[in-house]
Amino acid sequence: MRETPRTLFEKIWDAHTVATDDDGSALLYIDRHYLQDGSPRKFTLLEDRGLQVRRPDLTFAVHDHYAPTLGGRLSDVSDAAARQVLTDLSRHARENGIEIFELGDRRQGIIHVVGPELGISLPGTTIIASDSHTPTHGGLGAFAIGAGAGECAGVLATQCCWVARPKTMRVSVDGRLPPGTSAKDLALAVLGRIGAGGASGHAVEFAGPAIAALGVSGRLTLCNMIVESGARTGLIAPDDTIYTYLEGRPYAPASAAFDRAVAGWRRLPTDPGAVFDREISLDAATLGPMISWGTSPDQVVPVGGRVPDPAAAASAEQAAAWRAALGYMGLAPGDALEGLKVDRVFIGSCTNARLEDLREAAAVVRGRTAKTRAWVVPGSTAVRAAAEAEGLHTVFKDAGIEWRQSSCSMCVAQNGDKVEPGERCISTTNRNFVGRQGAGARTHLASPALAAAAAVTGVITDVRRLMEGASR
Amino acid sequence: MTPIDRLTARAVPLPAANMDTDQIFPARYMSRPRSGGFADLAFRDHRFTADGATKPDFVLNQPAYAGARILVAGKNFACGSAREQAVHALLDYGFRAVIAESLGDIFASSAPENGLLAVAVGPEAAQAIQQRLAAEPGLALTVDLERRSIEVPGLGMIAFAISERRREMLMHGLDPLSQLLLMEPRIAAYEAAHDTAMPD
Ligand code: SF4
Repeated sequence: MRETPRTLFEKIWDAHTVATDDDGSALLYIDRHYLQDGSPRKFTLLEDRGLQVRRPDLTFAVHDHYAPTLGGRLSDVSDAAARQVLTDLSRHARENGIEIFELGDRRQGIIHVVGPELGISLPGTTIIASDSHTPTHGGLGAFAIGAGAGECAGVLATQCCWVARPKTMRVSVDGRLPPGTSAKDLALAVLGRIGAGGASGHAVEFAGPAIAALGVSGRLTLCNMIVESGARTGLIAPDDTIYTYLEGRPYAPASAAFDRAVAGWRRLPTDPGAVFDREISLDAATLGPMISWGTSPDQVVPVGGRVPDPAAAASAEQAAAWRAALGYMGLAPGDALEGLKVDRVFIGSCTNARLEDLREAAAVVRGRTAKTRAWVVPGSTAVRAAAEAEGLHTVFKDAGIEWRQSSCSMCVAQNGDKVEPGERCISTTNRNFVGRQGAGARTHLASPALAAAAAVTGVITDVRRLMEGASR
Repeated sequence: MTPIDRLTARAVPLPAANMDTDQIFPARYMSRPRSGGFADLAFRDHRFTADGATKPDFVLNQPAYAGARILVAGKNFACGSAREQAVHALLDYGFRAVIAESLGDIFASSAPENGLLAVAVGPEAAQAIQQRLAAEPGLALTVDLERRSIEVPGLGMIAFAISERRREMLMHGLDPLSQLLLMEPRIAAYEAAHDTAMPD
């Protein structure tokens, strides 16, 4: 008898189910648990009960949110409370035999960049962290979710977590992304289509020729951004692009074990005929560079577009949200995005600070000069080193753009790097929430190429204008 | 954890959509330990100006809703960052239950783990309750976990879904970590049957 066709998500879910509840929730076995420099409560919950970390070998810690972007050592962290958080994490990791990629280590970086680049995150695995952008790792074909710190304490103690069973959704993307258009633009377009909260409770699989054509970096960007639709996670079936990427990475299986692993991974992709609860499709060829205008990541328009008029909103509730967003952003209905003066450019974060992202930005910057204050903050210390080996840092520095140390930095403004009140910032990050980049900060989400174009022109600019010919 | 089986308390409406966890608990306070309590930090920038003055317009600052222990929220409440501090801030402020149109996924699972009942009732029910609360500020609702329902005076009963495991936990104030540890035999069996170090 033939088995029922299953989706990628269902295969991973089934393989990790330890127990189930009456609503379909499952106690899932967790293959990889990542710890960031957040609250030490996970460890104190265990200590209070005299519990041990069950699988320190499956647990990895990093310094990222509080990492300084100047200096890059613990002594460069000026805020005492932040230094305490970092010190506590290092101590807890050491006491419990957990590997930590801390400040000063060349493996340090944002966990969602580090996990893939070290080969710790693998296809078919379950991954958890008390961080909402954990779904990033789904770009490799993993089921990766964010959870609360208390649930992560449970994972430390038992390596398991109760997870509500998500519904499934497939986003099929035909065609090819046109020049000047990246995975970030595709992600923003998808958000504009389904809305913030539009995929709540869903595991979203991206599929189709445009997805298969994406490199690993772009796949991670997509799965990172789908979080903003409320999705529980995003995932993409692994293929040869992923296997080539993973081979030889320090924590990935090696030689014969790698071949065995690949053979297993080849069984992961969604079976033909498998049914999703929801399906949407898009044609990549119709897309261009996108930018957000408001304070929710689904408030997006093509870069050549205009700020919408609340009078045209679909509901009174949406009109009110748009008005509030316009007020905060200092924009009026009908304003063109292109040509708006920019005060800041931030190229960084787990969305868009991998080597490929920095290459895209550098290609735009090369030979030009920054017209506004701009920073590049690599996603990991290894990305920084690789970029320097290619000379990308020189491209940025020659243009007057600051080349900093790896950190979450201005994505969440937790380490002190922030956008000043009222400043307009083009940012390659994932959230344009009120106050996210600093109180009063006005964030426009965009791709690295579009951010670079804003840096060298001082205004929001359709990057394709800088790409056509060599005229500048 | 304090058990909640039947809670009758004043409720406050907060209909705004996408009230993310950055707004419930601003990131700049993330390094603060909870020992001093997070009551003042809940919705910090909605409740207070930068120099600490109270914003009288914000619903939580209106006297009619003082002492509310139930929050009736809008669409996609507590979306965004995973920060559990947002859950703690709501608890420390005095909330025991959040009834929302819909909830951010991470919040929906981490709130009950911390003893905060959080249920999604859909747009119609949530908006109807909000309208009742706006029409009659200070109104008390009853959340009944035994019957999986919310009683709204003048509106009737609204049912909500919650899993058996979670309901038991909240009703008896069980500690989620202790409950999880009871699964040990099954976890050990799983580990014995799988290569967990190098899964495929
Ligand atoms: S870069 Fe931003 S989104 Fe990513 S983990 Fe850091 S703070 Fe979160």
